[in-house]
Amino acid sequence: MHDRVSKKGYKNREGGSMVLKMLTGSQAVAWAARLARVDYIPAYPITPQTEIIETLSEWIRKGEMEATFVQMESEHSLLTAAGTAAATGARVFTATSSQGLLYGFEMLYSIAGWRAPLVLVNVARALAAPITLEPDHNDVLAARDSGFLQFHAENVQEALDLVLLAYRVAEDHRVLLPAIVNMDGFHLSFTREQAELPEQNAVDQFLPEYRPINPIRASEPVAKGIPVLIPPLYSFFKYQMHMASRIALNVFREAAKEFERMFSRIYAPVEEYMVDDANTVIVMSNSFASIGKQAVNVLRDEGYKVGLLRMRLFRPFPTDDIVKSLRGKRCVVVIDQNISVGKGGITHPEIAEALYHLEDRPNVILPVVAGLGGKSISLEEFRHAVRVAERLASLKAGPDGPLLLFREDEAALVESLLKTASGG
Amino acid sequence: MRLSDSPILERGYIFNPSHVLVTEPSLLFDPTVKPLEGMTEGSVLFVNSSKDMLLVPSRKVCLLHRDITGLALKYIGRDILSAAMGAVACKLSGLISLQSMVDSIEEELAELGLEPDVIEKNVQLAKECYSSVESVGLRGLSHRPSHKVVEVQYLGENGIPDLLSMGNTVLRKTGSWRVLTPIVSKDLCTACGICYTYCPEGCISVDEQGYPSINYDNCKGCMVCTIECPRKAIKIEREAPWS
Repeated sequence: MHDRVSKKGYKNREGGSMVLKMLTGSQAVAWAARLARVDYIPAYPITPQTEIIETLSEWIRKGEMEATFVQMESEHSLLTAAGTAAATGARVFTATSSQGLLYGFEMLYSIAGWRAPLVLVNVARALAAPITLEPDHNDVLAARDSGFLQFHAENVQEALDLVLLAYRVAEDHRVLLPAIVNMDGFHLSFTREQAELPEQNAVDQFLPEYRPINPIRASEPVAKGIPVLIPPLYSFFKYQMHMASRIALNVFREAAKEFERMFSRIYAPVEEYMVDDANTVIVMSNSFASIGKQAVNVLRDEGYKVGLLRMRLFRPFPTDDIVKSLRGKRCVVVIDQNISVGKGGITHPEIAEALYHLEDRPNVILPVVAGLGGKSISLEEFRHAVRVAERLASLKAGPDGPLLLFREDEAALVESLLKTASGG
Repeated sequence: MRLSDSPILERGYIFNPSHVLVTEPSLLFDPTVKPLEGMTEGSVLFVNSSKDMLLVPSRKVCLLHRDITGLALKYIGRDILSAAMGAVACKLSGLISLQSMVDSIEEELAELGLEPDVIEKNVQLAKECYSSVESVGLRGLSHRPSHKVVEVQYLGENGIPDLLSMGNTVLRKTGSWRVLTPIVSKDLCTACGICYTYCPEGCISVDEQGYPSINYDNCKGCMVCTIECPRKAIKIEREAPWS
C-alpha cells in the first residue's frame, strides 16, 4: 500500500482521472492551495512551515500557478494582509507555525470578527521557552477561542483534503468564518506519503468561486468590524460568530458528503478506530493518532478491548459525535498533546463536559498529557494509560490530576543532560 | 458615583439615579447620552447652565442649575469642571463634608502633578460650588426596568458587523462636545476663507460671496478658526445657541 509511486493515473468513481504522488505534508497543502485557485498568499518563513510557502512561490515564479505572493515583514502583518484581502473578496491562503501564530495572534480575533473566510495552515510546533522545533498543540489550541474553525489532520492526504473542505465550509454564507488547518511539524509536514491529487476540474466543481459578502471595493466603501461601544451590540455580534461556528458543523457534514461522492474519501467530524466494541477508548488528534492506532492494534492482540477516537474538528466542537462514540464506554483516556500549565490538558475538560450529563457516561475519563515538544509516545505508555484508567474504574475512583506519560530511559536521559548543563 | 454605608454590590451603569449632573446642557438632548433615562419622581437633575432651563421634565424631577462654567472661568480661567461638578455631587449627596471634599481634591490633583496654586484655585472653585446647592440626600438601590430574557436568532450573513450606509457621521451631533462657541462677526470678516480651510471638522462652509457659516450641530468648539482668523473676526462666546 505504501509503495513508492511517483505518478500514476487511474479512474475515480466519477470517471475523472487522478494523480498519485509521494508528497510531504507541506507540499500537499501547497497543492491544495493551488487547486483551490487562491488569489493571494501573504507569507513569512518559520520552521517548520517554510516549505509550504517556498513551494507556492516557486510555482508562481515559474508561471505554473496564478496568484499574488507577498513576503511580509512579520506574522502580524501577514495575518492583517490575509484578513483584509479576504475582506475584499480574494481567496486567501497563508501558513505559519508556533511563535509566528502567536506573534500574529491579536489579528486572529479581528479576522474572525470581520467574518473574513480564509484558510491558514498551522504547522504545529511547541511553544518557547524552552525552544524546540518539534510539534505539540499548544500553538494551535491557543487560537481555540478566536472564532477560527479548526480542522486537524492526521496524514498527508487528509491535510490536502481538509484545506479544500476548509475553504468550502468557511466561505459558505451560512458560516463566513476563517479556518485553521493544523498539521504536525516534521511528523507530517516533512513526511512523504502517497497522496491522491484531485483533478482540477473536480476541485473547481467542489469549490466554486468565492462569493464575498459586502466586499471592500474601490468607490464602494464598507466598514468591517465596526466599533460597537454599546455593549449589547458586541454581545450580539460575538454570539452570532458562535452560532455561525455551530452551524459550520452541519455545513462540514454536507460538504464532506459531497467530497465523498466526488473523491471517495470519507471525512466525519471525528474518526472512530475500533471503537464499536471497545471498553476503553483513547481520544487523540493529529499525526500522533497514527501511533495511537498502532498501539490499539497491539493492545487488542494482548486482550485489551481498546479503541481510538480521533478529533478531526476541534472548533466547532463536535459534541454529538463524541457522545455517540463514547457513551456507555467504561473508560476514556484523553491524550492531550498540549498542556494548560496549572490545569492539565486542554481538550480533556471539553470531552468530560460533553459526556457529563449522560446517564451512561464513562466511569473514568482519564486526563493524560503526552507527546509534549514532539516526545514520542511508545506502546508501553499507551498500555500504561489504559491500565491506569481501567484500574481506577475497578476501584470506582477518579484521577487526581493529569497523568504524564514519560519513560524511565527518558528520565535517565534528562538526568544526564541536566548534569552536563550544570557542568557536573 | 455610588454611596452607601453598607457594601455596594452594584457595578457599572447606574440605571435609576437619585441625582444626575449634566456638565453641558446640549447633552440633555443627545440620543446616545440620554442623561434623563432612568430618572424617576424625586430624582434631582442638576445642569451646568447660566440660563433658566426651558426643559420641562415629563417626570417630577427636581431641576437645579448653576453657572459652573462661569465660576470655573472666574477661579481658574479655563473651563475645567471636574472638581466643581464633583463638589456639587458631594453636597447633593448630604454625606460628604466640606473638609473631606477639599482633602480629596488636594490629594487627587497633587497626584496629577498640578502646581499648588492651580490646586488652590480648584479648591476655591469647589468650595463655592459646594455652598451653592443644598443637600437632598440619596435613595436606595438602582434597578434596571425589567424586560424578559429572549433568545437571539442567528442572522447568518446579515448578522455581521459591517457598516454599509454612508454618511452616518452627521447623525452624531458632535456640537454637544462644545463648551465655547465661535461666532463670526460679519462686520470684520473679509471672506478670506482661511477659517474654512483650517476647520479640522469641515464644519465651516462658505456662501456664494465667500462668507463663512458654521455648522453648530457638529462644531466641537476647538477654536482653531478663532486662532487662524487674520482679522480676529471670530469671537468666542459661551453658550451660544446649542440647538
